[in-house]
Amino acid sequence: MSAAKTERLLNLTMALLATRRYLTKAEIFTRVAGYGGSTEANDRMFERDKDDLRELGIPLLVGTDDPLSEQEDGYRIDPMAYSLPAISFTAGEASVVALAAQIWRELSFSNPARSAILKFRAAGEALENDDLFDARLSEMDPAFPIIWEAVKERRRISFDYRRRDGLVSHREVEPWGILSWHPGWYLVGRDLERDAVRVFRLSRLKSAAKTTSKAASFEPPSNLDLRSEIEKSSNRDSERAILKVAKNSGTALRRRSIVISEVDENWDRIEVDFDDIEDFSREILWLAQKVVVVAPETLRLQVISSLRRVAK
Amino acid sequence: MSSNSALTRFARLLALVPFLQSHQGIATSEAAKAMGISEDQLISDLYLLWMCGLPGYSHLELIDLDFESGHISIQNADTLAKPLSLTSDEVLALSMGLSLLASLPDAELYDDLQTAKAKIQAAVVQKSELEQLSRQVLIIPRASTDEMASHYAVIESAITSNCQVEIEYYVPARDEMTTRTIEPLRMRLVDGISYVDAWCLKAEDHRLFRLDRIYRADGLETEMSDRARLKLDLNLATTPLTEYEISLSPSGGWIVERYGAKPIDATTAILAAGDPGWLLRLALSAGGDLVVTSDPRLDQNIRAAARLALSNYGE
Repeated sequence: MSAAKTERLLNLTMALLATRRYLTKAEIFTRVAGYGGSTEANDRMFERDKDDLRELGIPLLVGTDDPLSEQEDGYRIDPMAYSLPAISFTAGEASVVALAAQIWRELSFSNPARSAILKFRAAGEALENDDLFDARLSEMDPAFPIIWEAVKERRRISFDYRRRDGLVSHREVEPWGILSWHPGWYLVGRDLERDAVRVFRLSRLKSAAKTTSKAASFEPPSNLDLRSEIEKSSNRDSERAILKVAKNSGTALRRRSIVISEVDENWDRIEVDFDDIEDFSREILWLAQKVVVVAPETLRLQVISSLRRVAK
Repeated sequence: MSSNSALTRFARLLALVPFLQSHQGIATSEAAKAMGISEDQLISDLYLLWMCGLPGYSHLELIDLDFESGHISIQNADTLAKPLSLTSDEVLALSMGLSLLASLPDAELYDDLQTAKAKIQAAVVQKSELEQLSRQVLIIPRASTDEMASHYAVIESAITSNCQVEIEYYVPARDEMTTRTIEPLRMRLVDGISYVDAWCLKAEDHRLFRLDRIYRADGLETEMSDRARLKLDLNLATTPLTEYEISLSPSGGWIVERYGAKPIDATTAILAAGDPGWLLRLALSAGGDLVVTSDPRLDQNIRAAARLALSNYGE
């Protein structure tokens, strides 16, 4: 059954590529191998076949050779629009393209990555990764495929979302775009209830995203700039910290510091800039008793209260 | 068989025909490999193609194949001489993949990425949908310092010249600088972070070294040994890991995100650690969000370390 369908699709494609004029349905049914039931059955089959061709991106033209006549519409495929234009990669380019396809492995985009590689190979390009590099994504957020579909089809979605402070709330969003910014994937969109642009980290979705509207329900702004949206949403104003660091400790911290001076034979004093008080206090706590916060007071209190919670 | 698999196969055949035309006489095993399928599947694809052609379907119109000798030749398939043009998803898959690779601090590679991307985009026939979609997806590569780039270059050239490298490497689990000789095998990019996949003479085993923790790299004259290459297809984890049960507070979700803890229920999870010292530091930095429940002694040590740190603040 499945082989018969594959065979019919291939015969149909070849016939429509080879014809110089539009073929009417009746002509297709009598001439293309694979059709041959009742007109009704043929019609149903042909409707599904057209959808399949379009799903693969085959540019199916509908029309007539003589627009003035009353003739029924016919079909053909424009060979120019069908064919992959000539492309020629250098050895270096070929190996990065192969590597770029490999990065998806079994994750989202693995199928289109693989089929693109097949097309390039079919065009005579040798695409082999030279093994000097390996690249992978360990895992992608399970929410990714649904959200990506919603972005593409412009469907609204809803989900439960956990904010950084732990608070969970229900959101309904027009998904405008998706971006990767180390170390995660983010969704940028308009939060309907808040009527404002928001950035959501995919890993903080607490429920599966559900689509809540038909396709083409909204239009993302024509001047959408994902980079500036994520930059706006993350607070990157830096502050200067003064720390005491034990000798021979905190190498990573010392390397980022701006000023280093000696306090006594056991301690140095360093000054270092930080962006995010949460992240920075974790880095200090990581070094246990080897680092002491002198200033600012907010950071000092944050570190002390964290230590108290652990010691409890 | 679902209709979807018929469609997948159809798409493959549309690539297979031009592939065979541009590789006349190719061995069946080689063709199967290039198409990413088994040899049996390829043979069954060839039998199917044999039944296809243009209306009329006499030997003049049918695709003509010969593969009895184990080598494939194809005639009479000029209608499908070219592969189908790229879909938007295909272009995005490759250009996103290329952008992800841009996190490697490799100037030469970066140039190849840019020109490859431009060539792929130039090959798109229907550009409007792609232009729209391209604005809706963005990969921001991880920034590297000049120092990382220069260490990368040293290691990269050692890989090509088959020589050892001496590195100074920071080990956060022990807040310790180490000096070691490594035999680098290849660069590895995992979730945007650059690593060197190497044989470590000090550990006498394979190790992954994070590029941003290499503080010095000097190429040596000594040639690499053979042992480094024996296990090239190793997996990521090389040190044995111990699983700990931990309890997490509601604000401890970042531990699951960042360290891949496997949640059991809302408040407990399993976390794999190679070194109890690492877990101790993680528990301190979690500031009470993480408590080790499966190892009371480690839990005691964590609390003692917190009290010791508090003594610095006069408590």
